[in-house]
Amino acid sequence: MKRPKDRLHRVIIIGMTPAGITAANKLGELGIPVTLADTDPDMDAKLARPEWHLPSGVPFNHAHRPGLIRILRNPSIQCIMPAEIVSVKHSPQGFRVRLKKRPVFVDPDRCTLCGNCIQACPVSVDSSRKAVAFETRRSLPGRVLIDKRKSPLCQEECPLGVNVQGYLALTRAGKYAEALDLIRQDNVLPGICGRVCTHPCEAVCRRSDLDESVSIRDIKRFLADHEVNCGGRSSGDPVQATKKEKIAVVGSGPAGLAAAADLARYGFSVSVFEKENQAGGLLRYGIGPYRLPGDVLERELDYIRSLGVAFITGSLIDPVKDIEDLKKRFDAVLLTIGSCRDRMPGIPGEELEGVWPCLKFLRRIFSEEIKSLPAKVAIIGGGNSAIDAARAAARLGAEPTILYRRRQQDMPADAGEIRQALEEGVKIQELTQVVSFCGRNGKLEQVKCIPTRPGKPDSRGIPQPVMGSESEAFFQDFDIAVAAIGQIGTLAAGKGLEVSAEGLIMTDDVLRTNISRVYAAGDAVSGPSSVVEAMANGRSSARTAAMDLGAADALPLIPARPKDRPFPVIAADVPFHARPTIAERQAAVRKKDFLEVSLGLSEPQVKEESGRCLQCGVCSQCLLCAEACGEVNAIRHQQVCEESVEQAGVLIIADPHIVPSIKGDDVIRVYAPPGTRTDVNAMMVRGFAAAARAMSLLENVAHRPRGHAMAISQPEPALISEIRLGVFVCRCNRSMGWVDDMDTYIEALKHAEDVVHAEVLNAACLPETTAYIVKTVMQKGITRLVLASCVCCPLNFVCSACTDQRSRLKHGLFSGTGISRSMVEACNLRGEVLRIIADDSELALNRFIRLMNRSVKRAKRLKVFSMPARNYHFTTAVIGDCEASLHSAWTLARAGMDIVWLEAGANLPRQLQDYPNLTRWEQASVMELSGTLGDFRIRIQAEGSEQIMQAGAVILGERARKTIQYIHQEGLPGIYIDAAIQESGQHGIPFLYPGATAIPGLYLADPPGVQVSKRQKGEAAAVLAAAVMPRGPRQSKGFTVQVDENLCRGCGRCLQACPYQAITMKRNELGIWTSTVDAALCKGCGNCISVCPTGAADSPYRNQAYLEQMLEEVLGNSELTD
Amino acid sequence: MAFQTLQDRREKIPSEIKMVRIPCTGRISKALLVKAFEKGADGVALVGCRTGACRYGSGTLTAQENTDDARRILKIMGVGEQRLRLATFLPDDAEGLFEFLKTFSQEIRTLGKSPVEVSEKSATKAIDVQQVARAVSKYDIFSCQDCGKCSSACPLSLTGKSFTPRAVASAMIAGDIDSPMVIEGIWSCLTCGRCYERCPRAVNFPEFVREVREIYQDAGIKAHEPHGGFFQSMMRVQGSASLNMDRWSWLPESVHLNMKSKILFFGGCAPYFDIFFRKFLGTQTLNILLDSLRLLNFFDVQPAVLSNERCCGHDLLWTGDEKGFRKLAVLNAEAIHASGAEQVVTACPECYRTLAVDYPRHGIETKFKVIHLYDFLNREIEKGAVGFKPIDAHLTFQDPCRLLQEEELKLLPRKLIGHLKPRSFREISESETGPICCGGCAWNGCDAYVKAMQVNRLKQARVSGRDMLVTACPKCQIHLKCAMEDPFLGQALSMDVKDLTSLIAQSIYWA
Repeated sequence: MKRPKDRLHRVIIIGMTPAGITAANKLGELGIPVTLADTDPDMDAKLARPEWHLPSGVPFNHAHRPGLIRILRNPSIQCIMPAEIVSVKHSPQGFRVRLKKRPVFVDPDRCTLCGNCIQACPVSVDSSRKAVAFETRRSLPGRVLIDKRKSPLCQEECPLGVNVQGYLALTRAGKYAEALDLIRQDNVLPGICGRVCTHPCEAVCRRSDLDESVSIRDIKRFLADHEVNCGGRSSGDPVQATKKEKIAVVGSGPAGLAAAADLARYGFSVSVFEKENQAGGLLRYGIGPYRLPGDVLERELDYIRSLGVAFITGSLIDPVKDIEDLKKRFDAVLLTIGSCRDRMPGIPGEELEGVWPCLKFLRRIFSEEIKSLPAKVAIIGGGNSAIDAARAAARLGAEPTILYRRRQQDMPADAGEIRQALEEGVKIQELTQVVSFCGRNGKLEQVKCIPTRPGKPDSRGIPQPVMGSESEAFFQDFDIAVAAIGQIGTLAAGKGLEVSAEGLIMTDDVLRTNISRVYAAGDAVSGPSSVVEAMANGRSSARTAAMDLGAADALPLIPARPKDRPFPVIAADVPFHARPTIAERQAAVRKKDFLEVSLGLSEPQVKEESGRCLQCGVCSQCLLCAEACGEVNAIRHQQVCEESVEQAGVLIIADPHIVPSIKGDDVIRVYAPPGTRTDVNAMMVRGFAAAARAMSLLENVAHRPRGHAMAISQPEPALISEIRLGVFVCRCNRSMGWVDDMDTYIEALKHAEDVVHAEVLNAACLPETTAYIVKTVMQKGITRLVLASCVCCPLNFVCSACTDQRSRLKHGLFSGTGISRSMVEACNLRGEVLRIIADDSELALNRFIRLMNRSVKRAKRLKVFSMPARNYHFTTAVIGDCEASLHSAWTLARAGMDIVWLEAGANLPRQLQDYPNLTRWEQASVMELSGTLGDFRIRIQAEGSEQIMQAGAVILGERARKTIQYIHQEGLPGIYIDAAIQESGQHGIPFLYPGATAIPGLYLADPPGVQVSKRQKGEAAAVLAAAVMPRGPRQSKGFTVQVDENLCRGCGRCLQACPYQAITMKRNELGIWTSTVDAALCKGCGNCISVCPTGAADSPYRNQAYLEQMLEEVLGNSELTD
Repeated sequence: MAFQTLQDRREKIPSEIKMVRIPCTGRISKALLVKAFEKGADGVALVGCRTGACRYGSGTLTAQENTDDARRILKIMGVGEQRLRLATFLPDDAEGLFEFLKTFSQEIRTLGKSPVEVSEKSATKAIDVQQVARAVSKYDIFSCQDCGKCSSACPLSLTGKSFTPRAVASAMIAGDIDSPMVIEGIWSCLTCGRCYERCPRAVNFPEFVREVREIYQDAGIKAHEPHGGFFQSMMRVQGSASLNMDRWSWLPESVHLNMKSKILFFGGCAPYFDIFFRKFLGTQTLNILLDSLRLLNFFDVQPAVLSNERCCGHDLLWTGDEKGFRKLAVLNAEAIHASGAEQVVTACPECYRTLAVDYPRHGIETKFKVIHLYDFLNREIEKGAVGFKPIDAHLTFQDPCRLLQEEELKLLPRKLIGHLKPRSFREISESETGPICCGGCAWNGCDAYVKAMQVNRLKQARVSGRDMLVTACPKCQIHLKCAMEDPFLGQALSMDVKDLTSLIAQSIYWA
């Protein structure tokens, strides 16, 4: 560090270890803003590690749960988890940390942990875990996590981006309709693509690393057929045209259909123009019905019609002449006119009768204009069209021969179709180049061929055919020759629309033509392609058109996947399992007609086949979770990895494994050197010490109270005597079921005495629902509230049973809303009632009614909470001159707090003398100590006279601890402060932070048994003392014990029972001593209540009468109505 | 925490398990444990944190002690100690808890229904004005002359408590039956009978109070019951007919009993008291029973005892629970009749008064004669064949109210003390107030004023070096010891407390 840093008032803590957490908690209490980051997503799960269990056996996450929840609720603490720390750099203001916030695809402020999404999720990672899951309901933050990996290859490779894994997962779960819906989101022609798609997805399927790729296409076909077979709908959700714009699509091939469907779904009115009498384009006239039956096409067209698309058939649109006219009638025009002119080989004899361009040939056959053929038919080419031509010809009595210039294995046609063609008697003559057609009288008779041999492989690895010499030429007799060597564009360059030399429409990257509001897609732009590619292209143009028309909002949100999260490794125990074979009609029979050859997969086959999917992306993005989440709306599939730069004045590294290494004296490191034994108490002390150092580094930035003040509790809004009861019942998103009679009961409750509002809410812990409760309370003047949710008490303290949801709801209800905690009767409906609905709904209803009845009854009897007022001094006294005490004093001095150092030895370091806020009192000898937090009295002997010094907090050195008596109760003997730490099997030691004592506000500079340096121990004590000083009004906690003075006999049993010095005794006018409770110190455990002989001590919240009534009610000895 | 995990996991927690959430096991008093049985539980598990993991340090230990005590009491009462369990877990041990709940509920299912009969809760009604009026006339409250002698004798009034029999009487006559002052007064009265003794018109104020308490109970106006109502609960539990009690198994073999004897010894509640007050007072009321039996043996009587002896019902009667009292009385009377005993000896003033006076008064047939042990001892000692060892103490004596109310018995304790050989004996107070109640009679009305009264009493007792307080009722011993427990005044109040029966048993010998 060359120059001192001008540190920002913020601390970054990396690593949610016990040390990191304790540091965050103390800094949070000190009001210093904190950013807490870790790679783990769940504090609770992380802190449950066995090596971090406390010596009492209690796991850290349980013991410190209240602190963890306070961290979440503290507005100045920002928790970033899971996060990846990319880089850490020094900056003039401290540190600059670049981190990636990993998406978990859930909004933690909304998730209710109801578990509906988990129920719905079809992806099982293993037997116990779905793709969406949570550790426990105690998770912090309390939200589910979605395990999403990078995009599965099948989806990546699909031109349409169909969520293959998603529909396979749904299929496996038997949710066929949902699966089909998911396909249709991206592919409106599932029945067609399920038959004729070139399925690039299967080519990349990772399953083939293991055995064979999954039969994705066949599953798609099954889903589409299944819908028809089981009488399901083949219509989409009717889409209302929400937009005024009208769009014309010219051409009803795959590109046009896909574009039209999308545009309709965006809300436009769409008209599709088709020159033929029936829509479908190449799908109808280019593919044989034995592959794609006509009714399949009709069905898909019906579906598209149901989306609101109008088809205008028999209407030839000339893309050049008619454009202007169309533009007048429509707001945008999409040209998806295909490239339906066959390319001809350009060899002699093409004009002969008997020489056919393939598409024309097929159209004539499929439109039944040709009904029979002569035997000798040659097909030139090796693509799917060539096969189609051959198979169609075979069905009309021909014996077709395919003449192909490469090897058979190089044919681009689908291997399955080649096989089927061969079965049907089609011959393939490979390595044959046709060089001319020969005929007589204008009629084809022979085809002249020259053999070829495989030459150098081209870019795709396929050998280029090298033609032999003219001398090798031979002739073959054919009556018909079909040229199936591809298609070319139909358009000629003219004015208006810009067209390429190949006759294809020219567009920009996003498929706009040179004419405004005219778009083009499909083969007309790209040249011949596959069905899916054409469709994908069509959709792209639709998207561009929609964007240009200002309809960006109508575009569906696209779920995001983290690009850098790898697929799970294929488990070694996945058994080998081949693809299923598909039933087909026998060749001898099928070649006699045009009926479909393939019979498709059976349902059991599909079940098994979908089970073969390796679920590469884990979460399949089927979005069933979002649907199950419903109104809660907490699922965020669109979340992306956010990279952010956090600036802070101080950096605390608690977990070195997750941070890139950084040098520097001012980096605070709170982890044990490698190889040392994990001691959780030592970790905590290191955490405190880190907070202390952070506090010192940010010296004087924070305002510290000085002198002394009366800290009065925030005035509780008084309980208005008029009872206007509001009843709010949370059904937890119906996640555990619901009984309609419960609604009926709540409905009836509206008419009950004193009830002004009764309502069942779907999820009370949602921000807007909580706000609604607050609003209703105000609007209806509700003075007493029954809150039936998962919250078990409305009190202002966090107990280890609290959850993120509970505390969130309480926070929303009581923070600055004017609703008093004393107005609210809370009952744990979820735990007591909803839980059992699934097993016994009658019992659940019965319990519900009882619970609601007694809650309503109790709400009417609510009492106002007490308001403890206390005297606070803001000076800390440090007693003792050991090394640890020195560091305590020093830390507090640097942080700008008022300190008196008593019994300070003579050898005071020079640096310390400069602090004006430090008073050193060498000669003072401390006689005894009394009082508690805020109000300690220290009896001192100095220079021969005795005096009392007051302090708000006290730090005792180790020698001082053993020699100075603490007097808790005036008139009774004192004790020496115990430094024991809770240990399994040992009675009588309350739960305390290391360094803290059972006396609130009293800390030990050098607690024995904690293996860290004296310097760190001293610093830790300093931060404990600093954090305990009140920074705002103390609120009533509501559960503190009260003692009835008239009943108290002064036996003193409570005094002995209380571990926190909350009870003191004073003499009354009868001359006897009675107890009083300091509400600020009482923790509400009630141990004093059980030893009180007269019942003078009782809790105002859940008192003896409450417990007795509770017993009576749960034991069923009480009328339902009472 | 662990239970919550089970709830969250929707584990099939046995449906008979009903959960009451508590802040800490140490919060749960013995009273609440026993009340659960009174209210119909077949088994009770107190579930909390494992030793060393109690957030408040002492909760688990307190719970252990309370559970142990309550178990011992349940055993004596014949409810069965197995029905109450303390189970502790670490917060992450949901499996352990689940296993325990399943096992425990299986165990309870094997044990079957609890023998405790749940008394039907009668619907609470408004105070029956007619009934109050009848009581006013029955006890001739009208004849009060408003002279104030009662108030100047009432030990509570004397401490400064705003209660006087006179004021309550006047209010009742005026029909003010439910003002806080009257209600507080009715429940505060110690029923010691000092007022009755002084009243020139002999208005039996204690009996009147008792009857009004019955009316109050019916109207749901409850007493403030000290000890969380433990004793009332315990007694109501004993009202169940099918208990198989274990009252006497603790007796040493040196005590000789004869179950066919025509003389039956009725022990009273001492066994429960000693367990209940074990931790704090070191109460030794059980010795009264043991010493009584030894004295009977000493005079060659081998009495019978009732293994199913219930509480006599005194405390329920004086808390206004007449129904509860009646159940106990009927069960006891039947048991005594079945034993064939003709004489019932008891050392407890309350048992004596209840069996001898209140059973017949409430129409319970008693075909036996009730004798106080002191009566028996006095007659035997006066035969003259016994001597007494010297007692190295300066004695004073605390009168039990229930003996004072019986003319023929009230002088007996002093007669017996007269036989003893202490260093000296002096009455507690020379003043005119006379004997004062120990401050607790039917486990109600204990408060700061009662304490102040006891403190004064003990201070007076300590005057001029008296160092042993002789008592004749277990409750006097309990309550005065409790007063001595004061952390501040304890030094000034502390003295030996010995029951008269024990003192006699320890010093008597055949001359």
